[in-house]
Amino acid sequence: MNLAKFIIRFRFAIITLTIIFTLISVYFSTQLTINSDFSSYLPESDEAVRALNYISHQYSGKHIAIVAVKSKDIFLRETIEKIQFLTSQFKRIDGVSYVTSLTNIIDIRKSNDFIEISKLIDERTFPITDEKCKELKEYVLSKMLYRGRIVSDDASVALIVCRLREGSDEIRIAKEIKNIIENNFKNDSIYCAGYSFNLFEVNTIIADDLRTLLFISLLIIVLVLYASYKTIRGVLLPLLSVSISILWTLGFMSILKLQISLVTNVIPIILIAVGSAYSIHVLSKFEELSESNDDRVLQVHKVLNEVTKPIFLAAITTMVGFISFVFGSYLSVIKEFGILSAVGIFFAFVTSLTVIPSIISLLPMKCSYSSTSTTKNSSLLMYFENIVLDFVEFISRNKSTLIKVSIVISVLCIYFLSTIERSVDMTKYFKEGTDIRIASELMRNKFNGDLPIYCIVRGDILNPRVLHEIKKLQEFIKSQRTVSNPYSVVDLIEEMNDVMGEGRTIPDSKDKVENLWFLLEGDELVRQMVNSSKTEALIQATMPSIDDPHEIDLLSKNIHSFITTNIDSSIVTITITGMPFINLHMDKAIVQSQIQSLGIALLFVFTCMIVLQRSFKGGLISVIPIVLTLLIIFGCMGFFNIPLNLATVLVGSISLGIGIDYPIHFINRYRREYLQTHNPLSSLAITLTTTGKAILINILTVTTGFLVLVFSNLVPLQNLGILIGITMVSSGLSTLTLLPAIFVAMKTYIFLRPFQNKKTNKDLIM
Amino acid sequence: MKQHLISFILISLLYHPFLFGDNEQLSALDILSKVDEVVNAPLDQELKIKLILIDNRGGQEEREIIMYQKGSNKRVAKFLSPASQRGIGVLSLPNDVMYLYLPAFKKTRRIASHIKNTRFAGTDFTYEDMEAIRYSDRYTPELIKHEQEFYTLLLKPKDVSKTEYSKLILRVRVDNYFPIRIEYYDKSEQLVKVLRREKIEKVGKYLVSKESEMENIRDKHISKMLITEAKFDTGLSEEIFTERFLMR
Repeated sequence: MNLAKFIIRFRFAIITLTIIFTLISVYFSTQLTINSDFSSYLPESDEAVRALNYISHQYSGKHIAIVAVKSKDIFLRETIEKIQFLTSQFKRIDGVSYVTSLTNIIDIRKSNDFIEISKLIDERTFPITDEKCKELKEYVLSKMLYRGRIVSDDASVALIVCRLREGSDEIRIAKEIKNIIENNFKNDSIYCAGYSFNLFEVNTIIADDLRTLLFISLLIIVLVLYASYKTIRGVLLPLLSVSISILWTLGFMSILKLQISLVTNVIPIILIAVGSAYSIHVLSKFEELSESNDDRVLQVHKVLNEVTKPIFLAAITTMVGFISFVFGSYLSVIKEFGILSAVGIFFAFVTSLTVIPSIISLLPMKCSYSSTSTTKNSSLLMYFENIVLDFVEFISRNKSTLIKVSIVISVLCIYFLSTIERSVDMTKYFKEGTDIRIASELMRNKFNGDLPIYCIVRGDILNPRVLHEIKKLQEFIKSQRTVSNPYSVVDLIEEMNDVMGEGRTIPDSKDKVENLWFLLEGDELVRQMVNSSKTEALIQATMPSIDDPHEIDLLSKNIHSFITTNIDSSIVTITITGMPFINLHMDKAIVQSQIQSLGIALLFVFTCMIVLQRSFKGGLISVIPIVLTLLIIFGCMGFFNIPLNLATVLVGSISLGIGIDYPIHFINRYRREYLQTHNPLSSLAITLTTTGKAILINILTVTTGFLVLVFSNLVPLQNLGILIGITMVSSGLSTLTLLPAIFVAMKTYIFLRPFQNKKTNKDLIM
Repeated sequence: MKQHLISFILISLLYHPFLFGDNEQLSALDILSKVDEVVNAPLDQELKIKLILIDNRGGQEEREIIMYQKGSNKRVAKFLSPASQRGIGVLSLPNDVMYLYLPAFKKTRRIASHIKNTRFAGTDFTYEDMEAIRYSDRYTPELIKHEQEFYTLLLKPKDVSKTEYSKLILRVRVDNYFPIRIEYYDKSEQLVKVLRREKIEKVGKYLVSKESEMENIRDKHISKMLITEAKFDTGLSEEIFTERFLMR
């Protein structure tokens, strides 16, 4: 009575405070930004992240934006002009530290007694005639510095590579680059590739998804609510509760200076799908009591007395599912997701038990059902009860078959579970046929990929011995199947040495290297290769987006093993990094996250169930449907080739948190009925007609809510939506079939010990 | 970085020593001619220069060079320090002829003339910046501002293909035609570099900027040039401006 009295007494204060908090949240929500940079999802202490950030700091940026100009022949005057124009335009973009293309890359050549260290193409050397173009083509394709790096072997694609300064707004820069292309060469074959454009696309999609999916999700819930209640308050109140909890969660995110990520952008959808159930229960109970003559306080008291505990149980188990990510994940973004989703669920729980009753208490009392609809409902109910009775008989007859089928399904799923693929290829996040996929394919075919990898070599870079070690490692990297075009300052020094007439080798003395350095120092390309104090150099190479993390792992191990056995560690130390290795760490973190968070969530839920059932055996039986569900999800992932990635890693714990609600409510109801009737079959029939029905409706609403994710433009989110849909159906159906079969098969019902002093509020919540 | 020094030196040589002029009402071309006269006034000069190169993180490197110049178009710069660059020399002669000497190789190589817009050895100076020129020969001036103490001239290249700049803006002192600030704009009309000249002192009959700095706007890189020793009109031998001297 206390809570009810409190709510009635302070209802205006509750509503006012809610409005104030919501307005504050709206203000903060507008300041939220999107972070689609995967490398920031790993902790900064991660070895590969630290090394990449170091490169970013030392060498003016870690990420590159690649613009690929395609033509039947790149060495046509107009194509070169196009590249020249774009190069100069990109250079002007604030935040672009270096632009490297055919038209401004360093060129070292000798002729007679001359040495030329200049740009490959500038105003003075611009090829005017066809013959000059042909000469240039032959020259460029003859030099490894250009061929396969900025011009494809077949001279059909040339690259303009923009390095983005540390701390610059990559999304804005990618957008500006796209605008320049769009405004000047709209219909030409120009493609945007590289990590920065991937970020731009993901960012755009996240923002679009957030708007579109939220709209569709809200629309669906409005339809479901209207179909259920056929009243405006029936639609608006749950909608209000959900909207408030979404806004509070977004405001909370913003206050904590968190950004919307590929993972956290799902939270509003989760809150709509899951959180709406709480206020629906409250509202349903009010509707049920609307015909009584109780006063407001009593009515609120009755409602809260009935629904608080089950809503609390549902909320707490769901929150546990989410919070398990905090303890189980190495990825900051998944931890954030866990905390924020749990907070969101908590907000939905609080608003449904405070704000909704406060508002309802101010609205006029009314009966929502007409007599005709009641009659109609009664006949429907009888029909449903008949089906349930048949169903109970079916279960009773086929209990062992049901259990055996479940075992077979489990075994099959365990088999497919072992075939689950892991995906770290970011381009696979985009649908086939999208520009980013096309550009990525082009880069893969013509340049063997667009992901840079780096070896940071520390030592006296002007010392020929160190240069020899760099060359050794570079040659080894070149021999690796998945890597191409490794280059470093050694290439330039050898070329310079050749120009000085000493052959294409590393000079034999440090003095000579220092002299050559005098000529190279300050060039943009050189500044991307060696630090200003000459104590460190980068070997850079490219890799395609590789889907299989084992392949990257193998490469990493190969390089490390080569370094250990072949590189003189007394004069150089080497660190390896780059997006493929970040992806590899991400993959390991995802797998670890999956195992740990799921383990923690299972353990927690299992403990809760033991406490709730007051029996170990009871606890064990309660988790059977969810364990089967988890096996089915992972089995489906294996069978349908849905890879484990940043989004699908969430499915296990979310499913556990939401799916466990079904057995909780089912067992509670069944126990209560059994203790009253001591007849397992009739208890089952009553449970199925009441809780069972509620479970079916809940499966429908929550599954529909999550299936909205199918409309996402990011493949992993689509997969997540489908998998959670499967979860809900599997968890619900196994609760309604397997669980009763086990009850009937067990006969003794040994775990169903009577509750003491628990005569109230153990009603179903569904 | 050394080239930084060289360029600095060469550039400063273009401007720094000069004679006082009158300050009557003059046309833009008259003013520019006076600037040329002031800049190219000494018959010859010998300068010891300390270059301090400051990168965008505040890291500093120092270089020392000695520079000889005769008239407006013969120039030799030799590096004295650091040890790794000691002995490297650059010789600049009329008609875009430039030689480079690398002591470790004991070889001199001619540097191609069409690389004017290439940055020279880590500096923000290009070969073009290092050329000894008469502004009035290469640029068409326009007086865009006449203040009490300064003229501001807009210089547009007569032949755009011969320069990497679209324009220069010179701030010239009214009392002595000393250009104290030069802004360099690239082909897309963006300000790329600024040369500032300070500590202007008289050495003999010529004015010298003892401290000047070139700032690369885009890279936030600064090269400071301090003249530690200056001698003018000492009758430098023609022998200095040869490949043989470069290799010594």
